Amino acid sequence: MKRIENSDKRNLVSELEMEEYNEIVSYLDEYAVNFPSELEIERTIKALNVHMPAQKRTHLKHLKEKSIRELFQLVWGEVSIFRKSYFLICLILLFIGFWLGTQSKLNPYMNSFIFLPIPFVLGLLEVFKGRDQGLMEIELTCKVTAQQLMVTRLIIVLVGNMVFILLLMLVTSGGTGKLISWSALGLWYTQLMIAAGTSLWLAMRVRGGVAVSIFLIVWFGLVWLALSNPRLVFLFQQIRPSFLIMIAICGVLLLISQIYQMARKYTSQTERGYSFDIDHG
Amino acid sequence: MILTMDNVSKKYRKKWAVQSFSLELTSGGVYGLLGPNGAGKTTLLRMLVDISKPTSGQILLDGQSIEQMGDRYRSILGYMPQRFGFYNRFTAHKFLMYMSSLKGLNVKQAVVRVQETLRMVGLDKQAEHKIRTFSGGMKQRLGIAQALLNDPHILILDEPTTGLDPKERIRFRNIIGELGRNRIVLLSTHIISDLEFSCKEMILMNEGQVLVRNTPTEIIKSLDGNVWKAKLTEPQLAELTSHFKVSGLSYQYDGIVARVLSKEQPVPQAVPEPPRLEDVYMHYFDEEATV
Repeated sequence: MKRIENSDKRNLVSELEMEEYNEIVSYLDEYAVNFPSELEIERTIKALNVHMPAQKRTHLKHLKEKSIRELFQLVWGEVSIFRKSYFLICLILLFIGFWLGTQSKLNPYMNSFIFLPIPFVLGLLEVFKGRDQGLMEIELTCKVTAQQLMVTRLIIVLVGNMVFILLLMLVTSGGTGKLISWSALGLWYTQLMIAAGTSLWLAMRVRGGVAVSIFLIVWFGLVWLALSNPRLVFLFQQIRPSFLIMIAICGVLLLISQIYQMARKYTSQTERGYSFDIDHG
Repeated sequence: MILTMDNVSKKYRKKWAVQSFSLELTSGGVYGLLGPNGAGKTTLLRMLVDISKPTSGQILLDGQSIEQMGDRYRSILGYMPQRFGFYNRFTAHKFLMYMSSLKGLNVKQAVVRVQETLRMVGLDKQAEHKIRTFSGGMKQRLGIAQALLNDPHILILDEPTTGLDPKERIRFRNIIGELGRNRIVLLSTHIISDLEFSCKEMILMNEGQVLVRNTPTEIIKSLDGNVWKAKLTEPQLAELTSHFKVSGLSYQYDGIVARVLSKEQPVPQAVPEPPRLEDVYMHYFDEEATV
C-alpha cells in the first residue's frame, strides 16, 4: 500500500517537471552545447594531462633515479677529497707487486700478502677524518650526515681495495693473466675481509691515525713471522677451499657487524649526545 | 615559523644538564642565550640541532617533531658549534664547496652561495688560501660562513664571537642583525656586548633552567634603582665586596670607582647609576652561584 503511494507521488512530480520543461524548452535551445568531436576530446585530455599529478610509479622511479644520482654525486664528491697521496701509495704498491711477480725470485703470491689490506687500512684515515679533525658535530647537522659520509667512504675504500687486489693479482702474474692463481686470490680476499673487520673495529675505538699505526705494526709483525717460517707458508698454500670460504665468511660477518655498529654509533642520538657532552654544561 | 621546546630535559648520568625547559622562538628576531659556563647552553643547542636527544620533552617546528622531520629539518638549519675543526689542507673556497654538497646544494647554487658567504664574513680575498694558514678569528668567520651556506631558516650559533677581534665582532653583529630579520637566530654567548644591540629577546639561563626571558631593555629596566657608583679606598672596597656584588671597577689616581649592586645605598658617597647589561649578568648569575 505504501509502495503504491510513493509511486503516485513520483508520477506527479515528473508530470510537474515535464510541464515546467515544456515552458522553458525554447529558452534552453539558445544554450545548447554540441557534443565535442573525438579529436577535441583527445586534445583536451592531452592539454590537461600536463597538469595532472605524476602517477605513483613514475614518482617512485624519479625518486629512485634522484637517489641514485645523489649517491653517485656523494661518492664522486668523497673520492675527490681523498688525499692524492692515498692513490699514489696504492699505485706504488701495485708497482711493487709487479716487480715481485716479474723480477723477484720470491714467491710473489705469498710476499704480496704483506701489503694487501694497506689501501683499506690507510683509507680508514679518510673514513674517520671528519671525526678526527673535529668536523663531526657540523657534519651531523648537514643534510648528508656524518654517518652516511663515513659509510660511503668505507664502501669506497673497501671496493677500491678489492679492485686493487684484482689488479695486484694481474700484475703479480706478469700482466698476462695466464698465471692467475684462483686459490691465492681467494686467500687474499679472505685476508682482506679479516684485516678490514679488525682494523675498523680498532678505528672506531681510537683516533684514525693511532688505529692505522697500531694495525700496521701488528700486521707487518704477524706477516713477517708467518712468512719467515717455511712450514707456515706451506700450510697456507695447502689450505682447503672450504676452510678458506669459512674464514672468509667470518671476516665478512665481522666487517658487516662493524659497519652496522659504526652506522648505529653515529646515528644513535643518545650516543651522539653522550660523546659530545662530556666536558660541556 | 615557530620553534618550540616543550618541557625539555636532558640528563647525563646523575646530572640534569637541562631541566624542564620550555621556550618558543619565532621568525624575525635574534634571541640571545646568556649564561655562565656550565649553565646548559651547549646541551640545549645540541638538542635544538637534533644531535642530542632530550631525555624527556619534545622539540617541535611548526608543530612537527624535529626528530621525525630528519633531513627536512637539517636542510633548513645552520649550526656553528662552540668548538670545531676543519680540513686544514683545503682552501676556504674548497671547504665551503664541500660543505655545500653536504648541505644538499647543487653545484650552481653552491658557487653562488660560497661567494656570497665568503663576502659576508670578509674572507673573499682569502678564498684560495689554505685553512691551515688562517688565524683563529679567520677560522671562526669561516665557521660562521659554513652555517650560512644553505640560507638557513633557523640559525643556531654557539659562542660565535670567541676569538674575534673588536672589528670582526662589529661586522659579525651587523651580519646577525641583518639575518635575524626573517629567520630564527639563536645565539649563545657569555659576551654581553654580542647581545646588547642585536637582540630581540634575551634568555638568561643557569643550571639548565630559564631564569628570565625578556627584551634587553626590560631586563635592564628591572634593575632600576639597584645600581650605584661610589669612589672608594682599597680598605673600603674590601669591606664593600664582602657585603655587596660589585659589577665593575675602574682604578683612578685618587681612588677606585666601583659599580655596586644593592637595593639600598651601600655607602654614603654612593650615587645611583643607570643599570647596564653587565649589572644584569652580575645580578643573576652571582646570585644564582651563591644560593
